[in-house]
Amino acid sequence: MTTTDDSAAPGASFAVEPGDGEVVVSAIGEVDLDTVREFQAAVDSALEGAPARLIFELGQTSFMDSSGLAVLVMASNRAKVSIRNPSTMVRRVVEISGLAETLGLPE
Amino acid sequence: MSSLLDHAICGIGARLSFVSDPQRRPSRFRVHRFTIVITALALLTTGVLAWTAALVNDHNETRLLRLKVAETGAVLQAAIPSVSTPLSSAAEIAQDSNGGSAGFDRYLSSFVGPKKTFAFAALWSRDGSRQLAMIGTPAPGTAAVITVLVRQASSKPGLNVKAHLAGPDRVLQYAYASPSFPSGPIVYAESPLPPKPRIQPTTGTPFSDLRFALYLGRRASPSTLLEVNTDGLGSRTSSVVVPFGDQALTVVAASNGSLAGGLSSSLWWIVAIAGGLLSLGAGGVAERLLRRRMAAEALTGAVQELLDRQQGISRSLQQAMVPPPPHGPAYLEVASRYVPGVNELEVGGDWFDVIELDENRTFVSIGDVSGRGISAGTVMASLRSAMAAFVSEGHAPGALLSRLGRLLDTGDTGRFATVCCLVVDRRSDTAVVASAGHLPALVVSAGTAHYLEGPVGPPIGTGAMDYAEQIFDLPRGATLLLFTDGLVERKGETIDDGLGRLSYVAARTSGTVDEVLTAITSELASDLITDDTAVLGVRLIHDDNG
Repeated sequence: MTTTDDSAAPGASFAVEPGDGEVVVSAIGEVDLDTVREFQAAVDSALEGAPARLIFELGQTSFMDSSGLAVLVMASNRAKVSIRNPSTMVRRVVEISGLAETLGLPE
Repeated sequence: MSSLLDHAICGIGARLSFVSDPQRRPSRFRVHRFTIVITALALLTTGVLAWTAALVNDHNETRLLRLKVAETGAVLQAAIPSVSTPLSSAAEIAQDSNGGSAGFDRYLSSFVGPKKTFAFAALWSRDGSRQLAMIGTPAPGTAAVITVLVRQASSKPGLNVKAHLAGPDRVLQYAYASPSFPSGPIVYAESPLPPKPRIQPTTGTPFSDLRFALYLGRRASPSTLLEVNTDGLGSRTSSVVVPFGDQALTVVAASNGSLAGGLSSSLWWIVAIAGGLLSLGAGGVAERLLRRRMAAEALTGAVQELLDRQQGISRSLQQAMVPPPPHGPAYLEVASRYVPGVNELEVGGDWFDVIELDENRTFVSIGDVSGRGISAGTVMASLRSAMAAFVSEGHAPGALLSRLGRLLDTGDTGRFATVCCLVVDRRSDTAVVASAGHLPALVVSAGTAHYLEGPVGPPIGTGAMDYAEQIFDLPRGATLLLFTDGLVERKGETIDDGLGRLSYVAARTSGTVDEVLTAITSELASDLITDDTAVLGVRLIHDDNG
């Protein structure tokens, strides 16, 4: 079952897909100050079932700033977080912020 | 900073209470001039309408009275033959019997008697000298007048009418001489009149709803008044003249009550009262709307003032939080730039600091709290103060970041901070650097620029404890640039694109540190960036010794 939140600002849309002991949160578009609230809401709903693992699918995330990273860092306090298929932009921002290990960035 | 907020909140509260405090509203009984004008206009209109209604009613009453009186005249005219016809017929009968009065008696007797048309009738010779016959008894005191009237008829044929109004026996007297028989006898008759002119109003007759005065003659005068059924006729009267023999009957009448009807006569004050009430109502509505509008305007004014204050507060806070331009010791040239983000209402979380440790070493730092808003600013202020405290305790950069890390928990606050701090030593022309998730420092020297590549720990707030340090050379005259992501982060690119652009631009700068920063910020600072941008440049100055 997939729930999609398309009420976000035109800049981004988010999807939450529960699975077996893990939840996948996808972010498509730009995660910035305008859209970070919707991102946080999607992550909060993903964490409602207290899953063991939270996977961020960020292949189509064209932009993420420190506010988006803060959402990821907060999530890492509540579940084991990993990033799947990061876009280049996201990969570099996570690496340069020293968060590669904290956020489970793939090699 | 909290006192600034408190002061603002008190001021805002005072402003709001002014708007809603009833004691300071204008008295509820003072009305605006606009309301008075509206009410006056409405009352004026009401007055005009009421006056018009009264006029129309008046006009109708007069018209209807005239019609009624004319009708009365017609009725009266129709009744006259009931007097003239018996007389002329009697004259003809008497003429036919050639002086004999038997026919006369027989015919006219039926018209004479109490409650009949005539009270008395007589037959006279044409020359008026002899009475030939008599039916009934004449009214007392009329003997002399009878002779006069008969004589008058003998020279003036037709119906002659006179009224004997003196004394208690008032009568109408008739003398008829046939115009077609010049030698025929004259018929005399009398009709009773009420003993006094004033009679009671009657019902069931055409005159019932009129007050009238009946005169014999063409003019209304007290000496010719036959009957009147009222004590006064008032100002609105109408009259009609009906020919009666050689005389006329004049009726002057006034209405008994309203001829046009109760509604018509009441209309003027109905209009006046209803209109007056409506006018006052309109005035009340106008006043209320006016007051509401003024209250709304006052509220808008208050809201606008609140908004201005909030913006003022934000600006003041922002000013308070903008890191003051740092100064370095004599051996260190320092310059800085702080470019606030586009959205002025939101305070940012960037800072930089330069703190002299001793005569040879200086501490330099830059930091960036994630997000915006007042809490980003307050977190930044706390971290900055804590850092200054740790610096004064003599901690090295790595240990300092560890300590700082214990002060912020991203899980609680939803914020983290990237920090880069270093200690510059002029004895060795080196610097020791530690970084918690911050962008790498840039060293610009002799037309080249390169980023420091060293270990970068996680940002402050993520719970990391260990931060490694790195030593690097900082030659005299080289410029060390620390900056926040506003300088290099753009949509549609990766961070490396921005870093490359900065490196390219910086390598081509020259001059003082301040001039270098001017060149860089003018090239790279963008109007579209919502994030704050902080840039700090430091340079070990060449000694005189080279």
